Amino acid sequence: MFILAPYTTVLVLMSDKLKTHLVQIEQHNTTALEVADLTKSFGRSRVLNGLNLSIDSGEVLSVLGSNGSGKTTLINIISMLTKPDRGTVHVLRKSVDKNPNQARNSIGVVGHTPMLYSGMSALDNLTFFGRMFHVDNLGDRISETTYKLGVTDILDRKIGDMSHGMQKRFAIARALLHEPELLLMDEPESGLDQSAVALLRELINDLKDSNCAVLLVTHSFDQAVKLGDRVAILSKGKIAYEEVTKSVEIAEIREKYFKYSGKFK
Amino acid sequence: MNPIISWIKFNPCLAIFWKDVMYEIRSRDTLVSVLVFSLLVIVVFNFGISPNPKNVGMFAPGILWIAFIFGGVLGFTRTFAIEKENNALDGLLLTPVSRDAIYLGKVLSTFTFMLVVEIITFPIFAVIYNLPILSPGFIPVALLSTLGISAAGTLFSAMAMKTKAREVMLPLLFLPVIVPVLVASIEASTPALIGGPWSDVSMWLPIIAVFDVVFLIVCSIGFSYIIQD
Repeated sequence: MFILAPYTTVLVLMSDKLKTHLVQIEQHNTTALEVADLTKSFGRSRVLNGLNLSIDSGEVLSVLGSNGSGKTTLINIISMLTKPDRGTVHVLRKSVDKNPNQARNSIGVVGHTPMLYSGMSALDNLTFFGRMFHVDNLGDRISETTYKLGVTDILDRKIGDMSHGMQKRFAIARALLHEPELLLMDEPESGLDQSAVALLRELINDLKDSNCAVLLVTHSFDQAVKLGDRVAILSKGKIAYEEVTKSVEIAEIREKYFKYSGKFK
Repeated sequence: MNPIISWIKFNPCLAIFWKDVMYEIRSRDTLVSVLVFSLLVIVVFNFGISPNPKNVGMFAPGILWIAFIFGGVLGFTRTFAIEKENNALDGLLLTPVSRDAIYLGKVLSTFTFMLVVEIITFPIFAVIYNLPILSPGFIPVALLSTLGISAAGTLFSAMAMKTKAREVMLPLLFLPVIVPVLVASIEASTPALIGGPWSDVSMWLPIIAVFDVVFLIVCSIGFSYIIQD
């Protein structure tokens, strides 16, 4: 009996570790976003035409596409700012139509515009949006998020008095304040200087580590490949091409982009 | 945290209301212009009509409510202006808050701003038209009518925000709808201001209250549709 005790202890410890590992794998493999048959027209122009895509938790999907290919419309529909004509969106396996507020609580959005009140200070903006999201320990959370983005010392400045790049940093802080499980980013690098782009890369890697899924819409092939686990090209309202970034070169992505977007090199 | 403090802190209506109040205190964009405009209407009518003790009771309540409503229209054009800048409205719509709560928060702030204007305007109006400054019967009329005006005005302000010519569209949409409340408010204000019997005032109050309830319900439902793309 005493001889078997160490073996039993080792087996119990191993099974505990195995369980933890299995839970981590399960969490990682949860589908964070699933979009099916998404269709949207503005007047006679069909922007999205039966689009399908999915992103797992902890995964970054980079989406490339020419101007007017429907990238922003896709983000607006997922974030429930625009209603689709047809199709379904599931966030963390729950329909956004049936659970809109639950979905909103899981989504963070960084858009073209900062979506902040220009006449209010950055701190007042973040406090207001934090309250709307019921963020606990709001003060600490604001300090933590703004520290990561390097903007702690300008919290008392009005958003309207800041440069576009600084406004963008606070827009990212607003999107991250409630610790979303799905982050939608529409050209986040636009207007950011090189140090901010480096911060953004670091931030996206941190988000991946914390199991957050990211949909990154960008015009930069470099960003798409460096930050994304998968890269997709949006053309004619559908995902025309999709590949794992590890198995593809930037040159190949560029070639595919020009092929599907129908534009000259 | 105390549950009451927590409720106040995280209540979306109160958060929107407080945000609007703080914004207004810092900018003074809306209150000052609405106040000046309402006073100007009262003064201009005074020159145009030249009221005397015989006819003042007939004209004054109408002039007062027209001043409040015209001033209100000016204020409503600004109700969603701060949300429009920098696309902050989208930021608000991304939060897990029902559209009704956003609407009610905006109604609460416009109601408060209109009341502040009325509190400042009314004594000046009473002096110019030689009416009693203390008219307790006017208080419930003002409260109920202002609520109805704010409820409808907030909806039409959101509607007008989506159109290009919002300064033109807002009065065109808002004024025809608000006529029943305007008529009832003037009818109730006349005895309240000239010292008539309370029964003449109170008979109009349920009518205004019914319009308030209808406006609040219908407008909050309409707001959810209007605000969505």
